[in-house]
Order: sequence, then structure tokens, then C-alpha cells
Amino acid sequence: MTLADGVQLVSTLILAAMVIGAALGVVLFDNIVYSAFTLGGVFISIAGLYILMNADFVSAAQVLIYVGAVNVLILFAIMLVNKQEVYSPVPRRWIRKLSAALVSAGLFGLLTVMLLQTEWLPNAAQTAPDSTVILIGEHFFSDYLLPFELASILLLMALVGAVVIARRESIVGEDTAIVGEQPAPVLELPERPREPVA
Amino acid sequence: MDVANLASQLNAGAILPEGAVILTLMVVLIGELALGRASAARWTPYVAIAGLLLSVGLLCLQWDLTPTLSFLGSFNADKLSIVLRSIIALSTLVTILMSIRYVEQAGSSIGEFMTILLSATVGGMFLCGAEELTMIFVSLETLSIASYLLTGYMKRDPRSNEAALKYLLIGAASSAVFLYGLSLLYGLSGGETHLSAIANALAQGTNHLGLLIALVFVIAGISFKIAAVPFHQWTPDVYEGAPTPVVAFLSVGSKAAGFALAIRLLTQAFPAVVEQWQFIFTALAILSMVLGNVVAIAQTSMKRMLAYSSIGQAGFVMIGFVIGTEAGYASMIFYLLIYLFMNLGAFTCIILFALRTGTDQISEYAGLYQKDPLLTLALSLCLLSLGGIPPLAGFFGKIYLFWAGWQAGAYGLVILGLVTSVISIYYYIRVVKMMVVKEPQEMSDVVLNYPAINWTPLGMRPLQVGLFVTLIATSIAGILSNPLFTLVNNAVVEVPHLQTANAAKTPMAILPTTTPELPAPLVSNSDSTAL
Amino acid sequence: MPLEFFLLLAAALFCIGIYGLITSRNAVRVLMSVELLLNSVNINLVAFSNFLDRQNINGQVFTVFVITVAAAEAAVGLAIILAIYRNRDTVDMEQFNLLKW
Repeated sequence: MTLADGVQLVSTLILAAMVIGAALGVVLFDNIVYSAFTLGGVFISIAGLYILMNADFVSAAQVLIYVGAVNVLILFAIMLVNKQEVYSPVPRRWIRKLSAALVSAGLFGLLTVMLLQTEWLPNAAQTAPDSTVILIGEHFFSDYLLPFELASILLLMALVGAVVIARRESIVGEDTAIVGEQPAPVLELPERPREPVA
Repeated sequence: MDVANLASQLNAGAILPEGAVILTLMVVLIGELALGRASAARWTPYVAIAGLLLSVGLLCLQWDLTPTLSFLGSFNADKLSIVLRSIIALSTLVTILMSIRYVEQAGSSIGEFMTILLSATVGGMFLCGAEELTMIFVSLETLSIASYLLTGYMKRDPRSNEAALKYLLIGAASSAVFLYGLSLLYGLSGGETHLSAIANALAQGTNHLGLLIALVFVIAGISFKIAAVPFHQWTPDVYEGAPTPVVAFLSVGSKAAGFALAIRLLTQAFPAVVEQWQFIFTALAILSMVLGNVVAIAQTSMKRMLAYSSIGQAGFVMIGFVIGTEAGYASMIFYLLIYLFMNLGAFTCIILFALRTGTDQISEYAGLYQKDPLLTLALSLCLLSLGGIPPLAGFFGKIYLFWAGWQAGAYGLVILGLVTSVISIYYYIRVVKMMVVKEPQEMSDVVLNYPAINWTPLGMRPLQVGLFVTLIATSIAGILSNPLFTLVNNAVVEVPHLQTANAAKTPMAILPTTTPELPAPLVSNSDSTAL
Repeated sequence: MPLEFFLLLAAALFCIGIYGLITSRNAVRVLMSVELLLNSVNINLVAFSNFLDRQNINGQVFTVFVITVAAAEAAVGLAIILAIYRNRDTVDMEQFNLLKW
């Protein structure tokens, strides 16, 4: 084993341990802010793993989009819904936690058996491309052109929609809203609720 | 690969119908910004309708072209996809007709509503022809994210918020599971993303367990989209909390897209495990038919009743899917086409009633016949058609489905389908009886105070047009079902992989545990030449 | 490192995500669990791409699309959470029972 291989092995193991540890932190911490920061840890460790798997462009995208955008967005959301909530205890909640743990463990067992049993066909003969950026760019503008363009529609729609849903409404056309005779509540379903909302 | 060469290979004409919808979307979005919100309600819906009509027209023009893969194999514009894309575009069209007044009355901006609805349509239409894993994923997510946004559009209403949150969380989780299945497919096939290439690679492999797990994960994602039991939990909540026109779109357009995905992905990428996916879908069909139709009896809200009934209807459609014969696929698409009109007709009536009275409780419909005969007639016809009473369209749709099932030897499924449709007739008739038979003194309070019928406010005329169009289609389509059936038959016959699924089934039935000796492409070739 | 190591890592991350999905009471945390699921899929795709498909790296392209969609989904999800928080003043999943499950 050369020195480079050794470094690679050790860093892979460390990053993998960080991924699992931080992911457990995300689901197990009581404080949601800790969870958000450990989620950032998961994202960064995964970006490191991508570099070890010769995926430099994806790694950069991971850091930029997941850490830079998604994680920051989640932190913002936590700040905006910033209320110290004491969750009212729900009876027999531990049963649900236990069964969820069992389900997850069972799923992991099943996936492990499947992954180890399957004969993957590693193709070590192929050499890694010189630059993944060029290759990915070529893909985007040749055989992945259609999904690439559709993704732009998706982003536009998500942008418009997220703004529509999240903005505080200065109500438009309140005077035009009429149900039969009486004025209708704005931005609510015209069907009346069956029981009044607490 | 130089640019000119690439452009000639793209064959971009195949996506002209989607292009028309995208262009409309842009016009609506930018036009609303430029001309202001106040006037938007007067023109955006009509632009959207014109764009969708153009799109359907372009689809009709493409019918006679020889289907070729476009965008280097990302998109397949065969006849099957043309029919399904038309179903989605038409369902959006009727949805827009019924939503103008609804959105106007709710006081929200219609331009943005149209934009999101049209992007959902684009996603659904692309999904019908998607031939490649990335394309499938991106178009599926375009449809799903737009649906979450539409569900939460009435943002002052806690029910709408809650429905959107539940839909988003369950939907995002299910699409992640679906994606895990896709990633396994990519790995098992040794790095292929085109469906046909995946099928070729998998036909030689022996990785049965991996393939099965990928299959289960993929089916979980699809069943969420078509709301098959037990992946239906979101349906009643979303149907009750979402704005009613959105529910109409979800129950027809989104569901048709889900079935399109099922047909393409399962028949094309999983020929090695046909027996298994047909078995899983048989179970899903049985559960959906039984649970959907039985639980619908107990509902008191019209929207919720239609939610469960749509679960049951999806179960009927799945009969055509699991038998795997050509007639099965054809009858399934035929039923989707019929279902489009009768279900949207029912939703138009519910919206009209809700707009006039502000309620959707079934008991409040009592005695409606005395006050509004037209609405009563339309709703009765649509509900009876959904129940499958002759001579309405729904009856012929069900007959074709059950006939195809019987031919293929799925006797148990067909008998169960018959029994559950009798159950469904019971709860549809209950509503009709409520409206028609009640004496004037048994009228509900809201019907007693029923406002004078007035078609003049903004957006009522399109609602009226939608009502008449769906009503006429529901009553006439049954009698004119022959040309429609020829149409869907043509659509199915020319799709090679549907025959593959068939041919692969026979050797599988004899040797259920081994993969068929013939590689799938060979079978498909011999079959298509035989045709 | 063999391919299986990365696949097992992804499977573990996937199962942790599923656990978080079922047990979380805070809607924001449920959304984080969904991000974990998507990241596990990405590890899968990049690993397959590196070990089986070095010439074409289709998996890496797919991953970029998944990242894009995940960002859009997170933005929409947080907008919806914000809207429901304004109306209901809570993000506790147990309280969202206006509609029967």
C-alpha cells in the first residue's frame, strides 16, 4: 500500500464516520438548531467523499447548493419559526420510536444483504476522465439537454410558488370577493370548515 | 459533435406541444407582471386555454408522424404518449375553466395560479414520454412540486396549509424512495440510464434480489402518485384541504401521469420480473377497489367521498394494467379518457354548488332539484357515469376493462371489480336520491336560501362552458365509444415494449424462478415484425 | 475502498433518514430527514458512476439534477412550513390533525 492509498483509506473512513455520526445527530438531537448544524456536517462530509470518488464538480455543487443554500435556508426557517415549543407528551410515543427503529434496522439489514449478494460489475479498466467539468457540460448540452431545460422550468416555478406561499399578504381585491350575498373570507377555501379552527 | 449536427439529431419537433404550454406559461407570468393584477383575471385564463388548445392541436397533428426518439433518447413521442399527454392537457383545460371563478372568489391572484398549474401540466406531459431516468425524475418532480404549491395555495386557510404540508412531506419522502430505486437500477444495469438499455443489461444479469428491491422502491413511488392503497393516506386529506379545482387536476391529470409512468417504466425496464410486478399491482388493485369503495360509503363531505371514490376508480384502472394484454392497456387508457370527463364534470358541479352555498356536505344537497335542475342533472349524470350505469360513458369504460380482464383470465379480479362497482353505485345513487327525491319540506337550509342563478359574474361563463362540455362528453362518449376505442387501440398496438411485457410473461409463467431464455430485445423484434 | 463500502454507507444514511422521517415531531426536522434520504441516493449514484461508469459518468450528471431538485423542494417545503406556522403558531406534527389522517 502506498502512502497515497493509505491517506485515501484513512480519510474515507473518517469521512464515513462523520457522515453517520452527524446524520444520527440530525435525527436524535432534541434541539433543532443543533440538528441543523449537524446536517451541515453531513453535507460537508459527503462533499469530501465525492472528491475521493473522483467527482470534483459534484463535490463543489454539493458545497455550494447544499451547504450554501439548503442548509442556510433551513437555519433561516428555524429562526423564523423561532418559538421555544414544549411539545405536549403523546402517550405511548416510545412504541412508535421503537417500531420506527426496528423498521429502519430491518430495512438496513435487507439492503445490506442485497448489496453484498449482488454482483456489481466494477469496471476498473476504464480510466477516470481528465476533467469531469467538461464531460458533465457536454452531457448537459447533448443527451441531457431536455432534463436540463426542464429543470429551469422547475426552478422558475418553485421560485414563483415559494414567494406566493411565503409572502405576507397585502390583500388584493378584497372588495371583489363575494359569495352569494355575504363577503367571502379572502384566501380561504369557499367550503366552510366542519369544525371551527382552534 | 458540432452544433449543426447535434441540432439535426435532437428532433426537437416532438416537444412542440409542451413548447406551446411553456410559452403560454411565460406569457401569463410576464403579462401579469407587466399589465397588473387587476386586469389579469380577465385575460390570463383565456390565454392559458388558448395555449392548451394549441398544444392539443399540435398533439393531434403529430398523430400520423412515425414515432422517433427525440433529444438523443430522452423523450419518446409515440402514440401512447400522445394520447396520455392529450389527457393531461385536456384535464388542465377543464380545470382552468372551473378555477377562474373559484380563485377570483377566494381573492387570490389568478396569474400565479395559472403559472403553477401550467408548469404542473408541462411536468406531467413530459413524464408521459420520458424515456430516461433523469428525465423521469425531473419531470415527476416538476409535477409534484407544482402540486404541493397548488395544494397550499389558499394560504390563509389552515386546512389548505395542513394538506400542503402533509402532501409535501409524504410526497418528498416517496420520491426519495423512488429515486433510491432508480439509483439501484442505474447500478444494476452497470451505468445505463435509458430504459431500453437498462432492460438489455438486466436481461443478462442474475441479480434477482437487487432487482426486486429496486422494483419495490419504484412501485412505492408510482403508487403514491396514483394513490393506490396502502400509499393513499395523503389522498383524503389533500382532497379535503386543497382548493377544489386543484383536487380535480390531481384526481385526473396527476393520476394519468402516474399511470403513464407506470406503463413506461415497469413494462420497459422490468421485463425480467413481470410476474412480480403484476403480482404486486394485483394486490394494490384489490386493496384499492375494496378500501376505496367501502370507505367512500361512510363519508359525509362530497370532496372526501370523491377522494375515496377516486382511489376505487384507480383500482379499476389497475385491472387493465396488471393483466398485461394489449386489450388491457387499451381499455385502461380508454377508461382514463372517459374518467377525465366524468370526474371533472362532477368536480365542476361541486365547485358550482360550493360557490353558491359555501358548503360541500352531502346532506346539504337535499332537495336541490327544486332550486337548480341544471346542476342536479349534471351532477347526477356524472355520478351515475362514475358508478357505471348504462348508457353513460362510464359504463362502457368499465365494460371494456372487465371484458379485457375476463379475456385474459383474471376472473377473480373482474368479479371483485363488479362487486365493488355495485357498492360504488350505492353511494353515488345516495347523493342523487338526496338531490332529487326529497320533498320540499325536507330541503336543507342552504338549499332553502339558495341564491338566484346568475351566470354573469366574472368567471361564471367559463364554468358554465366547462359544465356543458363535460356533461355532453359524459353522455355522448358512451355512444361514440367506438372511434375512441379504435384510437386507444392504435396507440397501444404500435408500442413495442407493451408487447415485450406480454411475450416475456409466457415463459415466466412456466418457469417462475428463472429469467426468460430469450433476451428481451429479441422478443420485441420478432413481435413487432409479426405485427 | 470497494464499491460495497460506499453503498452500505448510503444504505445506512437512508435508514437513518427513514427513522427521522417517522419519529420527528418538528416539521423542519422531517424536511431535514428528507434531505438525508436524497443525499444517500446521491452517494449511491456517485459511487456507481465512479466504479461502473467511469467513461460516461451518467451518475454524476444525475446527481447534479437531484441536487437542483432538492434545493427547489427545500425552498417550497420551508415556504409551506412558514405559511402553516403563521396560521397555527406551531410546527409540531402531532398538532396537525385538522384533517384526519
